Amino acid sequence: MRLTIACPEAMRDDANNLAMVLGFGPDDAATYVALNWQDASGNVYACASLPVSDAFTTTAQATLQRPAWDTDNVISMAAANRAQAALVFSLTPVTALPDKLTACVGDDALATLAAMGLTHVVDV
Amino acid sequence: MALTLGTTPLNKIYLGSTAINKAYLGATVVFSGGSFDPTSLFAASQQGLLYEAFDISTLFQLSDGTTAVTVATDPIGYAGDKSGNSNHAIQATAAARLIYQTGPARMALDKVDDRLPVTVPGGGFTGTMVLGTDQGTASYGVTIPAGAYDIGGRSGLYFPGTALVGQLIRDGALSDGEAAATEAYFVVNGATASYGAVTSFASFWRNWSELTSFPLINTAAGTNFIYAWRGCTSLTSFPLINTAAGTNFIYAWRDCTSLTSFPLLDTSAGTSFNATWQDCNSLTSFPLLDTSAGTNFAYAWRGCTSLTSFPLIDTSSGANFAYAWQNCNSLTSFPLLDTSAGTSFASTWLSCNSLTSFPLIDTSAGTSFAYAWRGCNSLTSFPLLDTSAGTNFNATWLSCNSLTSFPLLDTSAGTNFIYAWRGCTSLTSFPLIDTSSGTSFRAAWQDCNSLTSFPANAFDDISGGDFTGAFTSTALTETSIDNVLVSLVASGIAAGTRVFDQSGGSAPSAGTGQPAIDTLRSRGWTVTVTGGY
Repeated sequence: MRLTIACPEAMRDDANNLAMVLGFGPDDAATYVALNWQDASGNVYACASLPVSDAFTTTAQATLQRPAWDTDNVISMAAANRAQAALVFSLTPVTALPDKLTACVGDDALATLAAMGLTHVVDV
Repeated sequence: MALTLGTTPLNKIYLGSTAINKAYLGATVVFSGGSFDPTSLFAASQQGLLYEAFDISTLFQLSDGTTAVTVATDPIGYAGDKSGNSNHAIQATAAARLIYQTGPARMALDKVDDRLPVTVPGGGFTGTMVLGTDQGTASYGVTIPAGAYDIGGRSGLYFPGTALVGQLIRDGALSDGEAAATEAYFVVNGATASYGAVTSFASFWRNWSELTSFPLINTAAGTNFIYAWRGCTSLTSFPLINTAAGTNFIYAWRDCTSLTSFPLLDTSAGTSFNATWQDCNSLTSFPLLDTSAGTNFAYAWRGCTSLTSFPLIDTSSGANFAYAWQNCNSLTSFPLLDTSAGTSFASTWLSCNSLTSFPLIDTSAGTSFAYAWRGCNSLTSFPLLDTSAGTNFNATWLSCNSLTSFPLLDTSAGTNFIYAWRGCTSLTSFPLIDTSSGTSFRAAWQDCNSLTSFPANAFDDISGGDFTGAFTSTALTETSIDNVLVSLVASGIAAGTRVFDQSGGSAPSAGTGQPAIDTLRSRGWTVTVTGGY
């Protein structure tokens, strides 16, 4: 299934730490970068979309463990845990909120983002 | 199986003049794009890159080139370059990887964050890009500087399709035949040949600043061209594509800053031209497009600073002209467009500071004229436009400092005259316009430092008393300042904002002006005048 995640601006650092825990390595610190999306109130988000296994949602909500590769303590587990605490999983699109890391299931990432109330940032 | 003529293998076969990409004998492919091998385009050690989604041996899940892609839905962290230049594309961030799909083999993008960055070597690439996607295949002229380059569109957001089948970029332009052969090769291997079935080209080539030329692709089915070529800053010309079905051209060519001309596209079905050519600041001319169905022209030509003239296009359906020609500061004249349906003229000609005259256009439906001609400082006169429906005249003629006269416009519906004529330094007199709906005249004639004559009864019927700064730095005669003060008394305004300021020019007379001030102050006005009374 495809998961599309909206990360509010202020949560990017925490969310990137969580991405490193759930992902493969330090390069996953660049999961949430560009603030290309916005909600109706003007809050901006960095979004990611990727196919995940059915087990991913369970893993993402279980107690976080520092990955074996992180021998240099690159990851801030405190930050990752903050992001996890803000995580909202939904099998259907729900409205993205500026204080939540909102992850929704949907085959079409752009349609999912639209259903989450997000549009491209209008650069004028 | 190879198709042969005698013992000679055929590289190309034609039906009439049309090249055949595939030929079948029953269900068996007997001809498949000939023997064209795109790696041959790099045989002389040319720089460039070649990615093929249909050669699965070049695709790996991890960015270090390990864990082969084997099945649909595998992520692609590494796409091997087949050009021989080792310009492999790598995505180290798991969430940003393209996804391998089959039927046909392709690298699918989510258009949220997926992209495959490649490091373009020193010297960059100046040549041709052939791009085969699931929605169309085409060849482009490109200049790509050394450094990071996103395969998959800018920041993963903008791409002409939803999947990449094949991409070739060569430093050094391909011949037409080489480009066509490469396109055919991608098509044979799964790319869609034509964009002819695409209805929405929204953001397809947005911010593709590397494009130096754009091909004559089939866009006949396109209805939505929103943002399609926005920010294609290196395009110097544009082909005569078929846009006859297009209704939405919002931002379509905005910021195409190198376009010097624009083709006579069929835009007859277009309704929205919002910011369509905004900041195309190298356009020196504009064609006589059919814009007869256009209702929204807001920002359409804003910042087209090299346009010296403008054609008599059909704008008869246009309702919104806000900012339409703002900063078109090389226009010396303006045509007699049909603007009869226009309601918003806010900032429409703001800073068109080379206009020396203005035509008698139909503005009878206009309600907002805020900033409309602000800074048109080469206008020496102004036509008797129909502004009878206008409510907002905020800064409408601000800094029109060459106007030596002003017509008796119908401003009877105007409520907001803030800054309306501020800085019109060449006006010496002013007509008896209808100010009866006006509530705020703050700084309206401020800095009109040649304004000596102002009529009597100008404010007898006003609806509000905010004249803060209205006549500061003017040159009113004693009679004129008396006229103004007596008229304010006649208005009977004794509630709400009641402020009047004058400086420069003559002081009010003792016999007429000063008693009027006394009356105003008794009604709660704060009055400041020349001479300090």
